[in-house]
Amino acid sequence: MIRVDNLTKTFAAPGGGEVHALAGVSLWIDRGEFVAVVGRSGSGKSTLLFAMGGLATPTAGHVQLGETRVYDLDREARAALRRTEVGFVFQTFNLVPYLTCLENVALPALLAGSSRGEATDAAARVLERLGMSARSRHRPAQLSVGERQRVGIGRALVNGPRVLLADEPTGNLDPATADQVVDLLRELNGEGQTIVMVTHDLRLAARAGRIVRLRSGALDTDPPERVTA
Amino acid sequence: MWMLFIFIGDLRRRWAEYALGAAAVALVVAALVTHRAVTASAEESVHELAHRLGRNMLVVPAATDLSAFHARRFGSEALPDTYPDTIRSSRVAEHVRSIEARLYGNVRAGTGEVVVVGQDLDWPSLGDAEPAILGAEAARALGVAAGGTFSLGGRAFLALRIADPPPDGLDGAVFMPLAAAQRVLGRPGELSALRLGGCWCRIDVATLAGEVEKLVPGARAVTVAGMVKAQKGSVETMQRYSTVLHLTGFAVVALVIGSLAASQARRRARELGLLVAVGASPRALAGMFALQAAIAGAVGGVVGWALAAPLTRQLGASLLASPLAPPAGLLLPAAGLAALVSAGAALVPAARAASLDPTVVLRES
Repeated sequence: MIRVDNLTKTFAAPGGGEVHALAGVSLWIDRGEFVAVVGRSGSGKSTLLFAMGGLATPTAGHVQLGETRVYDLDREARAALRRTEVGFVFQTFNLVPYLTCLENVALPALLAGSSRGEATDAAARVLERLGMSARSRHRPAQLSVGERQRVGIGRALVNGPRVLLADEPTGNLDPATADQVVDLLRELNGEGQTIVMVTHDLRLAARAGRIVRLRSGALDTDPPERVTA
Repeated sequence: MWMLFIFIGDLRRRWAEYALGAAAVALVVAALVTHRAVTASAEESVHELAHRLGRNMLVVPAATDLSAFHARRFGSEALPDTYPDTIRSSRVAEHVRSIEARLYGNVRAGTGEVVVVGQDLDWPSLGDAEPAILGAEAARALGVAAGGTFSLGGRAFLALRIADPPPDGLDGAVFMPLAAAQRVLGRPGELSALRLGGCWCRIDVATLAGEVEKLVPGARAVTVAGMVKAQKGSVETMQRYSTVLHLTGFAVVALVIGSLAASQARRRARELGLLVAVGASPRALAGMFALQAAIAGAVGGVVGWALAAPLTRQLGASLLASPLAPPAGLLLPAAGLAALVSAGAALVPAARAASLDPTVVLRES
């Protein structure tokens, strides 16, 4: 379902020269998989994730989502693809502080062209699914960090994306809350949601269906290691 | 819909910032609308002056402040009331068809102020009371109707009629015999102005003016053509500066709104990055900034137009001695132009915001 072909991403280094964030990464992720991407800080995990979601244009190589080659699309079409096919979850949640939980979750639906009523109905359903209905009128500052991440996951899910891309979703959480978030991701995966999660926590990564290791922008093992959750 | 959603949310949070932007736009628009209203009225007043004075030549004391004179604020400068005879018996008389001597003065009366205008015309003799003709405003101030009597400066008058329109457009004036005006104003033997009528066919008007000034020392002969020319020149200068003023005004609007938008783009980088991540297109983000700026600009334009009302009234009263109001027809152009300039000014910061790298801003803690 997601095919990454020989993906390379090079940045200009501040002091001159180049930094190779990704160096020819190739990867295949099937529908319904839960893949953890692990590696040290600076190994290119997040760059790979953002590139898969159409946010980081690669220097070379391709990303294919379903039948669509993501970077063959122009910026407007890639934005449209992100609206419906991809859901992002972030380490720092990135909730809009002046919107309520319901409004935060409804935002991508509004962007996708839903009416306000349709968007809030969809957001309410997602919040209910995540056990957050009671908090729907609260603003992010009134929530615990675990709850904020649930809202972040809800926002990623509201348009029913093909793939949920989570960038260190437990990075700001205590171990118990992190476990709860990974439990939630596993539940969603159990319902058929394809998930790619970047993490540096090997313990949590072990709960995914497959681990992909990155080192200095390249895959560390080939073929990737399969683990049992 | 989502733009409105974000805008309303952001407005609730940063209302002071939006209010500041709209207030800056409002001040500029108020200044521009006021300027335009006053300029347009000045142009009208030139035409009115030309119409009112016709082909006359006005002879006034040399010390007369003409702008105050035309604004109907009369000073104590005077000519002797023997000057009409001096002119009639001189060699310039052949060029003059009529001479009308006038004495003007501002007098507090009843509920306001009236202008006393003494004229050496053929007035009827009424016995104890002096005859008078009143403008409608003067009649209201004195509380008198046609055929009624009133007192001014300790003298009794009979209102022959209420003139509508009044002579020379002097709505607040009480016209009376010259001698009566000299008594009411306590200025015996004095005149404020002589109005000379004629076709000036056989003499150049400037030459005639020079002859008159030589004949009646201490006087200044003002030709209508000269006055209109001078006033037209003033109006044209104002209009020339109007363009500069408008450009400067809208440059200020662009600067203020552009700075606010740039500041917002910096402070809202994470939120903008998020919008990109959840599928907002760069064009839509730029549109969102332009929309926010346009709304602030339009609100500023409307408020500015409303603020121009008291400013125009004040300036109209002090400069042109007439109550002015900003033309209603300027409301939509003011709001529309302010919105357009504001949206345009937000485009550069909007383009920068749209080109943010979301992978950087979304990972910052």
